[in-house]
Amino acid sequence: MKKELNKLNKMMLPVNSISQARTEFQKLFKQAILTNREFLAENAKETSTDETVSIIRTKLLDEWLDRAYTFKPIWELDEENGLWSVTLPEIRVYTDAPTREEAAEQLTELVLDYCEDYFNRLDLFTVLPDRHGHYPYLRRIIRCKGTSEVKEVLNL
Amino acid sequence: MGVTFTFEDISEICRRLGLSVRKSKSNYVLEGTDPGGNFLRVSIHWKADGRNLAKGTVSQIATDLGFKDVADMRDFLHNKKRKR
Repeated sequence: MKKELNKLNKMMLPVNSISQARTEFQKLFKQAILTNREFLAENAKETSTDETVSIIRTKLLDEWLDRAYTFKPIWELDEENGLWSVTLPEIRVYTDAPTREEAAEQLTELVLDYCEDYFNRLDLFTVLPDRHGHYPYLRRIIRCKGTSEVKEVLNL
Repeated sequence: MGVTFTFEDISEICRRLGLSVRKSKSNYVLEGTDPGGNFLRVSIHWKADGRNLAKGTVSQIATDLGFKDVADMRDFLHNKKRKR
């Protein structure tokens, strides 16, 4: 069973050595776009790890992430302090303000700042167990073309 | 009666936990490694400076700083001898 799975895996997800991928990159690029096939590249010289890198159609990846990683903001009115708080539990970003509109504006700014910090220090954040899962959500944000699209993605 | 926290309260808590404060574009980022070796990070919009924070925000901050709940964080703030 394991042998059959490995065979299927190699057939369906072709693994190329780095030099092979380099030589055939244009062909792999075209095929990835035209056939939606994902290709893997491995470092054949590096035997201590079985790590591979994927070459995948970006549009396809965007579609999967858009579907799987959606934001569900939680709104709460603090009547005592007259403040609206809004939280994005998916990436642990939150803020508050006297009105919903201001809170949405502030949250957008905070998310953009977090994105910048996260991608500048990717080596730190992706090894933190409680933050490495933020990557696909923040990737969705950095793919946005403007703040109105960011707000749309955040469901604000 | 509600329990309110200000940005200054949170700053004090973070300082005692060994976190540093830096000003980013739109916010203050309080982060660092606590005495237990946990990386903690809290970011607060600069517009919250000088006023009370909403309960929902305070509750999230307590979680991010590793407190059991808001009451636990309040106790830490008032009990200056408490290490964590």
